[in-house]
Amino acid sequence: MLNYLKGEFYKVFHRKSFYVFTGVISLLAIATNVLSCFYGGLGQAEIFDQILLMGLYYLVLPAYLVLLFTDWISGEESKNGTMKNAVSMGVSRSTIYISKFLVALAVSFLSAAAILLALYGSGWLLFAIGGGVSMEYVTYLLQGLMGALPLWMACVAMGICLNSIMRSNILAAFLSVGIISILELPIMFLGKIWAGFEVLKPYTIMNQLGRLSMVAYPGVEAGSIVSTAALTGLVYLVFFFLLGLLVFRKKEIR
Amino acid sequence: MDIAVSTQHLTKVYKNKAVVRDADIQVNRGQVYGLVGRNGAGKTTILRMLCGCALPDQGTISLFGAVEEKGLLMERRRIGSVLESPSFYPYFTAKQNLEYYRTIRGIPEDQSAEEALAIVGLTNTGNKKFKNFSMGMKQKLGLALAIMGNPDLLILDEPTNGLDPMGIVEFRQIVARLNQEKGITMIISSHILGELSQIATHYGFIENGRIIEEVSAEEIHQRCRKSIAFTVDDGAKAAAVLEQSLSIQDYEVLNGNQLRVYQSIDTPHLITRALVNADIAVMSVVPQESNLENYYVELVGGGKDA
Repeated sequence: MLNYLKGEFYKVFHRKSFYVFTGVISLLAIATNVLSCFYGGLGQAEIFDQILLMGLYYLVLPAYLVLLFTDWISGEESKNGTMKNAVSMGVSRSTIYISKFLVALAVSFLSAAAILLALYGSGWLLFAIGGGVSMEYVTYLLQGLMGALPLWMACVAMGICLNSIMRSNILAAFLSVGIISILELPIMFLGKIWAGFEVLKPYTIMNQLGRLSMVAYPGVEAGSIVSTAALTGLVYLVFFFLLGLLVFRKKEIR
Repeated sequence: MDIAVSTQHLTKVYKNKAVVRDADIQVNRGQVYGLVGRNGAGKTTILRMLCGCALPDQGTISLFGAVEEKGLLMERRRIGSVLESPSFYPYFTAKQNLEYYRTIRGIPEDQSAEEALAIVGLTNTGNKKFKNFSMGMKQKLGLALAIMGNPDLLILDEPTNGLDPMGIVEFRQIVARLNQEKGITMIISSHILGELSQIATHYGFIENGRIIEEVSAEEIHQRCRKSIAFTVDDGAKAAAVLEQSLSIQDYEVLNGNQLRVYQSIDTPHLITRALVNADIAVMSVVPQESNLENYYVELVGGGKDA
């Protein structure tokens, strides 16, 4: 598995797309802070608090962004017809699937770390250096991240799963976006047939990520919101990971 | 003789249609095995099953003696293959593509990719991306991937597709050299029988998913060599005339009344005269010269798409 992992990292780090994507988003984050500085003035610590808080409202973005990495790592195999090469070299399908999942996770974390560092690092330098940082807002953000992390990992698992079992990476991308964005709609429709389905409505990825912004609301039980989001994420993660693994092991490789 | 690859009752069904049925093949070490059949006969499906890309519905595969799934996975590391068209990452150069697969295969020698590229004559592609390669270059890169790391078995599916005449000649030379110098066993499927006949040592003929014959190139050569076919009324008596009157030993009697004579074929009139003089009725005298293509067409009963 180590060789396959190394190979997948080689593939990601030897193409421009990873650097361009991470670089552009990081630059946008920095540019946003510079613009805020232009309008709000240097050293305004409350602006940095707002940036920390803003992070809670954008927790849904990484759910979509990780799909790009799963497409590079897994989806492009079907587009380029390259999966047959690795399979015929005697790499087990489980190794391929698990490695792709792990590499997609690692690359997503790496990219996210760079982007967050750019956003909060530049924010801190422009607004909070020497002025102190409100730990209250940092806590809100950390709580949000704790709840969102399993949901983002679930999105990685979903991306790898759908790209591994579907022939078209474009269809897999559309389906992934659909599951994140509008899963509530089919649940509502099914709820009309049998009311029991309505129970599932709050547990869509979108709803759970959206609810995490509430951790900063006064009087809200943040622990419950975060743990529900984390557990929901874990359920999605296990479901998609196992579904993809089981189907991929028997799949006809083209 | 060491068996490199064998299958027993190998069967694959797609949408209720068996595309490979009860296929038994045997490839011994050092052989160049030509898998011959028309489009849709099941050649690629057999190769895909050998490589693990398709799973058999019935039957077994043995690679270097391993039959169980775990063993097959291990033995596939000794295989280099090009299935259907060569597929690579379009945004990588030839070397980057091979480096990626070298890492995956765990080949420790750093120069393996360079060596493989040198063997197929692709060292001068520089920073050119795979997406900008010509068909011939893609085929060569596919072959480079297959031979990287010195595999014991090469599985090549229609490897000369898209190659120009010079490319075909080069490919043949590379394959022949690998077989002779490194003793690499090969399974090659091809439509171009004239081409295959120059490198294959054994053949498997497949028709409608069934292996209808496995035969050595030697045997085919024997069957296809120049001869004269005599149709006579008494084959046994004619055979005696050939041996006693004309001292001909190299002949066959087929179906009781057909003689295939491989000796003295430049003087058919002398043989005919001797037979007639011995009171044997000679119904026809037909010079025969065949090749792999004719042999195949006769075997499968003709067809447009061989």
